[in-house]
Amino acid sequence: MAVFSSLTRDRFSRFKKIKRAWYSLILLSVLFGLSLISELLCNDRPYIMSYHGKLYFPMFQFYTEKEFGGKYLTEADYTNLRNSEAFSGGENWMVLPPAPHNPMHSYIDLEGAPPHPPSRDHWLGTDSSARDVFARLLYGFRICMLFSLILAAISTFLGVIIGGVQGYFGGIIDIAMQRLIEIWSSLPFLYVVILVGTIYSRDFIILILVLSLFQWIGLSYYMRGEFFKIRNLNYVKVAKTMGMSNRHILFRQILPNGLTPVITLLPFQIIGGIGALTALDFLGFGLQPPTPSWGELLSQGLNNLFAPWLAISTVVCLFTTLLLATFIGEGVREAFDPRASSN
Amino acid sequence: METPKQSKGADTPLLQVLDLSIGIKKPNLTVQLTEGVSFELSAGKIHGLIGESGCGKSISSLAIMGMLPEPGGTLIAGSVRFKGENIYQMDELALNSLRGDKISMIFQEPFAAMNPLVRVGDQMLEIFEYHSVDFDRHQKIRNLLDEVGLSDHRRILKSYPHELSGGMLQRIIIAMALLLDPEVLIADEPTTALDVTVQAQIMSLIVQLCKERKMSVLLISHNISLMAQYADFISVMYAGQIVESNEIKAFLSRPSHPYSRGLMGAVPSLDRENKKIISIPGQVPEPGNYPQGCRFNGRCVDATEQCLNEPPNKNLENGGRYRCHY
Repeated sequence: MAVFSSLTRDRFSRFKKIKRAWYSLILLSVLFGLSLISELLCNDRPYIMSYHGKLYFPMFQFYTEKEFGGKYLTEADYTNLRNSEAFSGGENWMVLPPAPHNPMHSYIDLEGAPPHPPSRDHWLGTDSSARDVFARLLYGFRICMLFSLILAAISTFLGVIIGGVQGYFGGIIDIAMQRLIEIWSSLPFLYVVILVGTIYSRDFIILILVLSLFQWIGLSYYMRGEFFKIRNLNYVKVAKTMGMSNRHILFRQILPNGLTPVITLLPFQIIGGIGALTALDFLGFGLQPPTPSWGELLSQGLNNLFAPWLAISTVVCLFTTLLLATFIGEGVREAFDPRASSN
Repeated sequence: METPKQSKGADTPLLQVLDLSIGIKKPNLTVQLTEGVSFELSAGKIHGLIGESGCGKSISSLAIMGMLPEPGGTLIAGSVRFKGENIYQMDELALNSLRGDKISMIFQEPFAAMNPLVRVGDQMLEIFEYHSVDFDRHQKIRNLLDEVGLSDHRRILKSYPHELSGGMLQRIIIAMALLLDPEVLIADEPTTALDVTVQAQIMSLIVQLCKERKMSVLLISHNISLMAQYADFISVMYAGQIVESNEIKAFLSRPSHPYSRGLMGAVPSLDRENKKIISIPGQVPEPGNYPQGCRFNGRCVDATEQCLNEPPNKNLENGGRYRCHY
């Protein structure tokens, strides 16, 4: 079996020709890739440090405060250590990541009251808890992207299965499921999120599960239509007259031919996921607080209008991400346009 | 492939359709689509099934393979017997091994009959995944391609369906249908989507294969001249019933049902220059709306009191049957 048919290859090369979409895809993938290793890029733990003639690798190993002259068995605070007299006094040195900030660390020693404006140390300033905004944006981006990718994967899976079952079997199964979906989709989504978030914790997995309960519905409509259309095409009938099994027909004849809506909707599902998470965080129903998140930064920006760096930097990030994803989605849709491929 | 000698009289025919009535279940009623369809297919013969769109030709032909219309198709009465065995009493497994293996089918639209995402060669090989065979599969495919008149095997097997022409695809589909040496071939309007020249080629190919392999062919069409040329027997279908069936020569020389006469009269002909083409007045009744008595009564110029009440069914002296009181 050919994995990529010539049609798929055609579509891919057409997508590559749409420069805006292709570069958006590259840029977004690179950014996402970098954010996956943000511990290496943006962290207050040094890669390597020398303290009293001994070498330490704090980024990869756990050291207690005691080892550096502190009192507790908790992890050492390298920002404080760096600024302490004990450290700067001797022959000690450390190699820090390019952005030496932990998104959870509060720089309470900074001059003035938080939020602090952008400075040499804190490129985008700090938020109202004196945490570095750049670090929070970077980690927030990662959470956002992971969240919406996982959400898109789950809801695509559900949408394909449910829509496919409806379309393939049709009849009473289809009608009954369609009515149930209509009832389900009219549930007030926000209340469900608030309720579930109150009863259980508001953590990453619960939030994804709750959102994916609703996100698949749109796609299932498309898949239902595709399966309806394809199962009546002659090649499916031919497969039946050749005595092939239902499973073969579903997975090898119908599914590969019905994937177009999945692929064209995927970027928009991701956009929807980013939007949903940001909105929920903004309203305070999203991820549990100290988690770095764009929605939370936005609401801080709203509460601290005198500190425009909060809102501006977050809005620019959000806008760029959504714009790149939209360009990709637009390109995919164009590359899959059957009217363009017919000649 | 061993084939029985031309069966004589009393032998059971290869495939028998007996009194087949098929309907569609709606929530509160069952709409009857075909009623009492009966015909027989015997080895080495072409049986023509003719009728206008929506009269139940395709439904009957799919029902031969145990495939009912979806959703809601149901067998109301009758049976389909392949070598005496009722296929509606087989389980899904036995049915699936019958399909493609013993009975196989070709469809009218060659472009729609193949999966656009799979190479031709792979589609042919896929069939073997569901039927175990003891011959060399690749060799078999190449032999069959030769048999249907395609020579450039390598290129064809590596092509996607959209890279080939309609005539080539129809030949490939015929080859696919013959992969497992079926004994019955159902050809559902195999040439309607093709050019006239290609039509003739494909039809003579089917006839030739039928005679050579002693295969039994059910040829479905709405083209009476095609039937006249190629079929050995003919059944005329109207509004879900077979209104007349007979040997082709007897039928052509003396059609007995007014609908058959109407069909014959509607064919333009070169040697009847001055004759007008006759059209049948009125429209085909819809399934579920069939009239009482003779189903043709609304459109028949000679309809009488009797036609409105009693459903007709008669035998002809030369072995044919027709459904008309006169």
